[in-house]
Amino acid sequence: MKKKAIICLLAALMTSLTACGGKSAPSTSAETTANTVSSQTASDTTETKEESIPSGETVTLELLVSDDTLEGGGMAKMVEKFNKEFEDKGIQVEMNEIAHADMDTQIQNRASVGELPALVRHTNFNDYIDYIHPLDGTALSQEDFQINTTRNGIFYSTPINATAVGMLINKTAFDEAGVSYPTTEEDRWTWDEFLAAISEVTAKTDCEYGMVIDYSSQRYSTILYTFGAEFFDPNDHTKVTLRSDETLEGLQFIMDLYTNGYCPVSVGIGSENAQSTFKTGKVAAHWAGNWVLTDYAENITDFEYAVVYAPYERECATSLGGNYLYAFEGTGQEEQAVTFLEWFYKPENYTEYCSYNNYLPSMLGIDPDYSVEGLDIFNAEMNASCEAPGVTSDVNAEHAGETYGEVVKETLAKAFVGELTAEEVLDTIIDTIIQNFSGVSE
Amino acid sequence: MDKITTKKKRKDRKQIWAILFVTPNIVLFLLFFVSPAFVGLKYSFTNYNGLMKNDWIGLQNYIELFEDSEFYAALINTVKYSLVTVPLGYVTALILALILTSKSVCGNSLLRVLIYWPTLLSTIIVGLTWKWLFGETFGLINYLIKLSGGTGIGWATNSTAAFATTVIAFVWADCGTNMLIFIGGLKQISEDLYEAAKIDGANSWKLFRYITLPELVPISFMVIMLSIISSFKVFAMVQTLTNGGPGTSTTYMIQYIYSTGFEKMRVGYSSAASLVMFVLLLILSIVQTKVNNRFSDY
Amino acid sequence: MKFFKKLFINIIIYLFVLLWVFPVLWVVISSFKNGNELFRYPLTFFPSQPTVQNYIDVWNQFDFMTYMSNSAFITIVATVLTILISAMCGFALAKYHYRWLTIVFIMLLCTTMLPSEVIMKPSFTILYHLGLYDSLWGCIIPCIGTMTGVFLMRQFFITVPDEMLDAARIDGASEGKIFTLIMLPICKSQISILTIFSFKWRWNDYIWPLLALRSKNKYTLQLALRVLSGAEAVNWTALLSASVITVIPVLVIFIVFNRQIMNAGLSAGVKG
Repeated sequence: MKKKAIICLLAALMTSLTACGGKSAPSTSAETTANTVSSQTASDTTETKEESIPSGETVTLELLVSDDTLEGGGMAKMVEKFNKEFEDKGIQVEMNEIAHADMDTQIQNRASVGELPALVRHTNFNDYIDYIHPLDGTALSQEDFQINTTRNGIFYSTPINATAVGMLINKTAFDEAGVSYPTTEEDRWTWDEFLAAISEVTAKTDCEYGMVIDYSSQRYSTILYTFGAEFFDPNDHTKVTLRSDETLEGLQFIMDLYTNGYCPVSVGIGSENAQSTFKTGKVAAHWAGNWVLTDYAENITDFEYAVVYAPYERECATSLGGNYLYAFEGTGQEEQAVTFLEWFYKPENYTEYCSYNNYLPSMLGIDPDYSVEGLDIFNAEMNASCEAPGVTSDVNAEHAGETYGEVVKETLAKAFVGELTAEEVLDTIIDTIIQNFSGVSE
Repeated sequence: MDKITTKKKRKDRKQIWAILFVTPNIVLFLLFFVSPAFVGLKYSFTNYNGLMKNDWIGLQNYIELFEDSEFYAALINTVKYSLVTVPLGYVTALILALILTSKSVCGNSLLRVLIYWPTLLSTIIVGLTWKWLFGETFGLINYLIKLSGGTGIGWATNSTAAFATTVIAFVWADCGTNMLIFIGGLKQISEDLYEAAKIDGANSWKLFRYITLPELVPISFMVIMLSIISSFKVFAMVQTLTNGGPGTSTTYMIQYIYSTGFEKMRVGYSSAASLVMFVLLLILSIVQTKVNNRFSDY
Repeated sequence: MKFFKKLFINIIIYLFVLLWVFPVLWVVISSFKNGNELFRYPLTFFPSQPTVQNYIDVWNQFDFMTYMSNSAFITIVATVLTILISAMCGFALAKYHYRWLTIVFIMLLCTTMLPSEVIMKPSFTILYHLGLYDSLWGCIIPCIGTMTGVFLMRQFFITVPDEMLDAARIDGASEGKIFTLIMLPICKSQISILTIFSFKWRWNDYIWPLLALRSKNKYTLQLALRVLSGAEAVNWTALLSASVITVIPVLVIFIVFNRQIMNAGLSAGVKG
């Protein structure tokens, strides 16, 4: 009796699995079409959504975010506030937080089956403009923001916060060595003055290295911009104008930082982490993004650090990055999603959000109260920066779905260990850009 | 006459049972390997970028791949890496299994837990602890070396040292698994075999050489085969430890696939590279199975 | 004399194991450190001001109970199914001698040879069309077929003498009966090993949960904990304590089933 039961069980298991197999036969062919379908406009996906909201019922919007908890939990706070205010108005927001590394997989997968969330906050929106609900005709407008998110004349997405690149120093070490550092924009170091300053600090204190630079193409590119490098022609975005004496000088400068021992090579090749290394207190300066301040405020107590005005050569430069908040099309909840966006960008709400997470505001005329020091300098860097970084990010945006990856940091890493010269680094970067961006040339 | 038909019937029924037994795995194989692999094959002939571009470009990806000197460098690195990690991992796991089943070691069940523990850590945590230990600038080992007057080892910038770190980390984080498989195998060997040999006056080396090792052949075959495959696929660990550097000296095939393909959104190209790796592994496995079949019943 | 030799060997072994497990101990001990001490130079082993705050923070940040029960459901169900189908398949591969079974063996081996990135996208589509999307079953069904499991079972059953099966066949037992009543019970130690492995794989897996799940209340522990490393920053203190917490169930499973392995071999009497 017992054995029969077991055999039946096994048979049932097998048939159920085979049944799954049978069902999948059409699905494989559906897969091949799914990719082509996914590239079409999002209106296709509308049909598959069963949402039809009867009036009077509460609509729950899903807001997909990443990194909020890590950066201070500001969005969670705002969602809570919104839900309280809209309790009787039929809209509630539910935040769904996932890892930043998983974000693109989630969005792409959900887009391919028409199950996109109502709202999302993410570092990338250019790749998804086919799915995004345009914000023209709402209370929000491009003029209010300092980052351009208009593509083909359509205002797709709101830049929710900006990030900038700048210089942090180990204040304790500088003070101990008696080396001064710029406190006003007029006193900015040139790169040579900066090198002299960090050499003095490492000589007089127990700092072992002058500087660490994040293993990031953006951080290196920012140095190149200060030397006057331009990735693309501002007037003709199909022209790569990186090949210049200025770029070569900048590349050589970066390589010399490593060969002359200012920077640890192990960080430059991405084996060790710049942030962890700066935390030891044995490094005089860190070329970083403004977001490290939140981490440092909490996790550096052994010494003091400060944000200083960034060194320059020919130009002042910072690289803007950031996150975007946008609504998806085809969820049946676009209207309510826009209501949330409009509420979110009311000055008092948006200021509160930026203050809470120590974000650089991307909306003009916002002056948050920060709980960490130094963000004002990053704000100033944003205003002082030359035009070239903006051109690069515009061109990158125009090439949605294409990328030349992290070629700058990867080729430089090879140069630091002597595999490439500055000229070869430049050649590789330019080749990779041309190879990956359709329609561009030197 | 009657007897023959029953025998044949019995044989048929046996085959049906065999089919039934493998069905669940085959179904899963078809669903979650064959169809994805075919989609990958299709991608390898396109410039698919994961989003919209999806044009047929024929063999272009493969031509580019076979013309890329970095691909060959990565291939050679991978072979070198496998040739070192697989034997080292095998010997370490076997020795540990032997020691930790030996009756003369006290508290060996506790020791087994401790040896197995590293296999449970996530890559990011392994990366962190290895940076604490093998960090070139501020790691513990270099600190101790400098304290005693030496100059630190270039764990990240010296290619031999970097290679060694990736090998040690792989063996360390993987060994517990194979150790456990070996322990399972050792426990299946009958005590009587040893008793009989001992009566014949065999010493412990002879016991190992003429009983343990031959009895472990099926297990060894498995461990070696799976280790080769996993040594080809060790990605996240190497990425966090050396990032493929210095230069390209620890860039293995899988690193190559990620950095030239996925990171640049060139799904088509990385599919082509993955399939080349797949074919290499497949040939290796078939050869291994053939060789194994020739020299033993297993 | 013999005593001293034994003592000496034991000391060597214990020193080796201590060295082996040192990084792990460092992780455990560091999970009681403040954020500022983690990267202090020179590095410290023991925390200067031990704190359990990291544990409290991470416990409050996550809905551990939901995530743990989701992970536990997936892990337990998947492990049971894995053992069943691996044993079936391994038995067939070892004990039936048809040519097509060698091909099946090589085919199954193939499943381990492609990088997961290549398989991820198409697998998602299949998952969706099977109706497994946003269901815990979506993290179970695709991964119960494992080559290691099949291989482990196959290599075990190869060592079982054919006479044992033939004897049962002469007694009139069907193949199904032979498998369930004779073969399954004697591979107790292989089942234990596979339980340990499968538990580890499923408990630590994030790829399938990432593909299959989209609702907060269905997330698994590993998926949820990935939030601790962001685009540019990692919350090391939380990550360390979270790793220590999540590893406990897997260690317990190891300890329990490890004992089974050690006991199984002696009583199995396969070869005796």
